Amino acid sequence: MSEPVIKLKNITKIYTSGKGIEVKALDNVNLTVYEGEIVIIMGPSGSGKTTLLNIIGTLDKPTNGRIILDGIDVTHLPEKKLYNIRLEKIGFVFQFFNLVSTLTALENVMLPMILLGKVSEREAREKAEELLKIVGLGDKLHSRPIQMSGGQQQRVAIARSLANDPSIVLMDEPTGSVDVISEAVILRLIQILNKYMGTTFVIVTHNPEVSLIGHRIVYIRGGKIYETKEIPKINLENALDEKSIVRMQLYFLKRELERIMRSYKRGLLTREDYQYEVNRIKKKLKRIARILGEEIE
Amino acid sequence: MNRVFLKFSLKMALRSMSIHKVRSFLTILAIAWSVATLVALRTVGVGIRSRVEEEVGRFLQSDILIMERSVSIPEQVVKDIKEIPYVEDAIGVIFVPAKIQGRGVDLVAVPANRMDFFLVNILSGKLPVEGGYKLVIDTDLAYSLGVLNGSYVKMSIDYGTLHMEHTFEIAGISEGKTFLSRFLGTTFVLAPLKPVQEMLDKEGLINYIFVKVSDKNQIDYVARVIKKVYPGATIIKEKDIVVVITRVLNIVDGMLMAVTAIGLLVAAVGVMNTIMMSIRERIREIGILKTIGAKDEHIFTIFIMEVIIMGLIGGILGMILGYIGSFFVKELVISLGLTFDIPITPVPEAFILGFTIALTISILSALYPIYRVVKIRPMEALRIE
Repeated sequence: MSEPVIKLKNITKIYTSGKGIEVKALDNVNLTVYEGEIVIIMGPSGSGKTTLLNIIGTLDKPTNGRIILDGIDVTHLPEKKLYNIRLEKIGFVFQFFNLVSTLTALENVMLPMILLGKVSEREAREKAEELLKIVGLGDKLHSRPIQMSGGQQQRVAIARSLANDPSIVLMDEPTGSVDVISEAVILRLIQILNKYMGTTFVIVTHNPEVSLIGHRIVYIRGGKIYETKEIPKINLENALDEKSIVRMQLYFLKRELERIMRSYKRGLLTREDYQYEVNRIKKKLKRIARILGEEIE
Repeated sequence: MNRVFLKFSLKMALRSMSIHKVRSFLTILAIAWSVATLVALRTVGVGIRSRVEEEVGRFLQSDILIMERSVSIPEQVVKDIKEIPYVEDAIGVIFVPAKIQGRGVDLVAVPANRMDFFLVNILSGKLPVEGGYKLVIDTDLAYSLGVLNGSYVKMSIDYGTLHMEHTFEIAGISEGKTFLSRFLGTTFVLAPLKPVQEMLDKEGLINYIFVKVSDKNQIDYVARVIKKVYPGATIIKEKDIVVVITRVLNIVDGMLMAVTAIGLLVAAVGVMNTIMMSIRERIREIGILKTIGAKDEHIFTIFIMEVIIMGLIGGILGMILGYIGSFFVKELVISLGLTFDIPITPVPEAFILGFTIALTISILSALYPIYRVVKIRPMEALRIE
């Protein structure tokens, strides 16, 4: 088992409204997120999922309980230290308006590095360029947020969240205000980043599409976790690799061809029908060849 | 806070300003206007002051003035004073109010051989250096009396209970009213000393002594010595006179400053409003900045940078406009009835003052809105859309 990145222990959050009415947003929540995981937090509106995310992100303090991020108990850290925790350990992506409007995409991604001040401007620029290339925006480096689509802005926000190599990236409805295609791109991107960069994600959503990319879904309702579901690992890429699929197709085509030839020999097929069937198989073979990148006649 | 971040915040400020061109321009204009008002009024004020000081000095031609209410100083005193170290020159005169054909004037009776002491600019005729019952009057008086060179006028002097009258010949006509005579609202008339002493029956006596000191640092010393030589006299130093005039000018300056203060107030309100709007628009952005780890001082820098840029541009623009504007203010003041030319020279002190005040006021007025937004918690900032 990998290291736990987030440990929430008996987290309770009570909001007091102006009239002294107490609202329990979170009730004794226990949650551990391990390194390299994609954890999806789902639940209806007002269930406390955003509160939970804010508490993990140190934007809000719990009434009771403890939060341990990367082995550091941040529950009672003063605001001054929390700034650095946010800078170094957490990446944030919100539903919309994530970017600083007066900065270009590149500068937005550079910003966390510059705020941290550990790298030179040149290094920050190089890294920001690389990150933007990863999220597929290598050609939009100098665009301002206003010149980009919602999906593109969201990808810049993802690149920015990764700027200081955070332990976790917290996302609040990352696809909440983008179109279907952008959503697919963003979800795929999250998977790629998780797989190849080992980034841990905690994503709040009520979109079932988003939940499909998770390793674990935490359902929360009325401030309580009432179900945690492990999603079985279906590694499509490993289960069905290219070669085996092609081999399988060729195998079945061979069987079919044999069958046709047999039928023809027995006189069950007319010459026209036989020619037609052969052509059909030829077409399929050509398609496979194309997949393999070869041309055959 | 590092250098790169400063560069970033500068970029952000400039872009924010270029996004809101009109708003930024108007704010800069408000700052520039207030600086310009300050610089222009100050430049003109300094011009008036320097002119007044110069004129007073020119008129008095002396550093120390000794005066008696009555014509009672023996002329010998002048000679004694001349013996005091550092005294360059001294001249005894009679200075009394008089009337020429019913018109009030101030008569200055000077020894005939020293008529040139007061640097009177003669337009026609000449100074009556040979003595006799002769007068030098200015063109205004000559015009209103309807007299020319060589005309005879009657001058009367009321001295105590005595009323004396004599006919004088106009020997010369001087340039129109001098600066100081206008300033004091009087007309000076110049005559040789002897006839006036005769007229007043005060031979060998005078009531004013003008003293020139060679070393300006020794004026106080000379004044002290004179006090010893001639204990009863009222001694006035030139700077005392300037101080009196300066006091009047200070009041004028104060009023000008009030005008300036209004301008500054407008600028301050403008800056505050701009920053408040800028913050309101970018409140969510501030929330984002805070969540990604920007500290209070980072947020502060981003906004104060905008103010500093506007203050700097406004300040520089204001200095230029103010200097140009001072020529207009001068024309305005002159058209309002000031009768002398005001020299306009760049006053570094006014520039520095205007610039500093503009920058300070801009920053100060921005502090409160910025402070409020810096203190806001990231959660609250994010909630506002």
